[in-house]
Amino acid sequence: MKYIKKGLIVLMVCFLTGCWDDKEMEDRSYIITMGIDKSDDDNKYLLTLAPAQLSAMNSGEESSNSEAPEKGITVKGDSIASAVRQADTYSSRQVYLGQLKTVVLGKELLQQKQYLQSILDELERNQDISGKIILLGTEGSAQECVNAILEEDASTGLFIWDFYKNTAQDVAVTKKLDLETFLRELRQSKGNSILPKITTTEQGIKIGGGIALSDYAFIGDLTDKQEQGVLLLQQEGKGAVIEGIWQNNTVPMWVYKNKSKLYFTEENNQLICHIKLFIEGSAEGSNLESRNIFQSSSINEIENMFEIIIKSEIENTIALAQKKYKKDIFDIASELKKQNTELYQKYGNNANEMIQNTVFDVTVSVKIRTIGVVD
Amino acid sequence: MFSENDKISIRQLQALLILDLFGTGVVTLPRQTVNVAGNDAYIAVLLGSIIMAVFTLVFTILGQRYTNKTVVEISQMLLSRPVGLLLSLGLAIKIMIGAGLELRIFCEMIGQSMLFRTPIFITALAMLLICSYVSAIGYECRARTGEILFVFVFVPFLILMFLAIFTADYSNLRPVLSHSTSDIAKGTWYTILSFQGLEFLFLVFPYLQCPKRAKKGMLQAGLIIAFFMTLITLLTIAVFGQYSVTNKLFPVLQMMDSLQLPGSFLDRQDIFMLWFWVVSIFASVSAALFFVTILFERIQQNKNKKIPARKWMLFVMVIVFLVAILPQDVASTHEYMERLKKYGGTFYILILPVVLFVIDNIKRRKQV
Repeated sequence: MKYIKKGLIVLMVCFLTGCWDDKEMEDRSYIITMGIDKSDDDNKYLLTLAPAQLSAMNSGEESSNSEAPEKGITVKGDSIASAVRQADTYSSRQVYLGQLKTVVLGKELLQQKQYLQSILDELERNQDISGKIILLGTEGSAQECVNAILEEDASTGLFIWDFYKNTAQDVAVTKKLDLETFLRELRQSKGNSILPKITTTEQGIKIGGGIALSDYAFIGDLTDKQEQGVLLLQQEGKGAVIEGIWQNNTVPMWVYKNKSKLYFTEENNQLICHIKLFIEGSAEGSNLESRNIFQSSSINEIENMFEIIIKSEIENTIALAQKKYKKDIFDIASELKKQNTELYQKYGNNANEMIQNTVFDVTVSVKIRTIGVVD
Repeated sequence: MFSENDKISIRQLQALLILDLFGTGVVTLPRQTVNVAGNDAYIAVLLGSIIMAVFTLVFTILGQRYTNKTVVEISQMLLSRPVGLLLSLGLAIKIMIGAGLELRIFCEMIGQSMLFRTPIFITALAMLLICSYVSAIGYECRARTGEILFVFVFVPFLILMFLAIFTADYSNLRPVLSHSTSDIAKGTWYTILSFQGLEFLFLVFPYLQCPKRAKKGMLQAGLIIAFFMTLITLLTIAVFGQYSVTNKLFPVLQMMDSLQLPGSFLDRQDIFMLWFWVVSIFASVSAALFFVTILFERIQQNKNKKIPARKWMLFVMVIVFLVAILPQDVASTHEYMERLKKYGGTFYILILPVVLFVIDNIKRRKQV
């Protein structure tokens, strides 16, 4: 009896090792970046998969020193799952999406509401794909972007991931948007959001600006300046550089602190959205001959100048939603719902109408805390 | 060095109760309550769990009055022998089915996140073998295991909770109290029903070293559970927003996965939540196996030909295993679980303790 018990315990241990589902690292193709476009033919989607080059990483070679980087694997299918299974037929290693870090969505896909919703559902539902993957949109094709990313970094494929980790929070041209946050914004605003934009240029990849979505479809894009305005509104403007002309000199201000406050009031049956921005920055330059910046009167003048500039920038950004697109792409309605349920019930039921009829009162307060190491 | 009198301390009982109640309930509770109460779901969970924390006193008072008796003897004394036997048999069946369904949900979840190709029956069998081994040794073994595992499991869980506290977007909880009282009441009801495992308190008093100190201990354990359930629900809503929570099958697990650890040196930290859940399922299934065998032992009337509890283990394992593998898919498993909670849970966790308590009070007054 004792031996039977001991035998059973040993048997139990064998079941606990999870060997049934083992997979060697070398047997997998780890896809780091994926581009999704709408396909031209009968298939719905064109997927471009960029795997990590494990052999290059192991030998310590940089992509620029090795052979020309591989292009991404391009496959077509009516779903991500079928396209990925096709990709398996092109490689000796099974495609694995568990390490996917970035997904780029092409413009044609973004213009099709049903296709976009279908893709997002598949990305969310897939048990391998993490909710932390970074999403980007492009005005061209995602395939070009993925191939350009591969040229920048063929070994790890973590170019975009590293950009957002090292640089993005200090330059205020783009905001890191992960799948989970994107889905939350879309659901909350009934299909409105702004995707960070990626573009291929002659110098390589450029990340900046935004792609505006309304009702789950592309409606337009945002320039770097407009995206900067959005980031200032969302308290993510740290690192922004704003330039103004003072005494015939270009004075750049680097923003190192950015707070914003948004609240709503009602006057004469008109909804008013008050936006208060508080910015602290440092004046980064003037003119070699100019020596009078280090005076409180000068600093006050510069602060006033930047307040006007930033106010104008914010108003231009708001005008995008109000006048150009006539859609609540900044999800002001959700903010109204969170702050004041009564006003929301009165004005917020149709968010797109609400944004067109709301009066925005923007107040900017700028404080220059430092002027560098010379006066 | 260690006594082996099959008695456990209040602290061990607290650890076991927390592990038992933190089973599948807490992983799916945010979704269920947000479906009815929206972003006010955490208020519903707070109310429901405080009510149940106080309700543990009903079990405790009954247990303290009859320290050497379980629900089998108490129900026979208070309600008549045939009714008592029938209720005890019903409780045994309810516990077995509940354990089987929890085990199935656990296996589905493990299959989805870690062991994609491993058949469900292998995972279920592995867990059942371990749980039956621990249960067959006795309650004291379960209690000591639970006490040790509690520390190893709760520390990483708390670390992840702290991370979620600092990274969540609390504006997703607004507007506060925007849902009607009836919506919040529905959410409270779902929370009350998620306290499956509380019926074990019917059976635990003969194994306590100091049953007189049970009231304070049980209330403390109940309030700890209330605090963590509310915190988990609140953080899930804050991280995902109410609209995304309703789309997720296991929102708590996915919340853990969505957290970014500082330094980005670790990924898949939902593994800590999975680890916590594995231990919790181990605690609740082993409790179910142990107490059902006790129930069957005590239900037998013929004292000369009584089959001891240990010998019922194989039979109970087979029933639990069959219940675990029979449902077609995870959706039907959840459906059966909801029905079991609604009918079985309502009767054995809410109605029966109150009925026994009231009848006992009436009889005591008559005696006086």
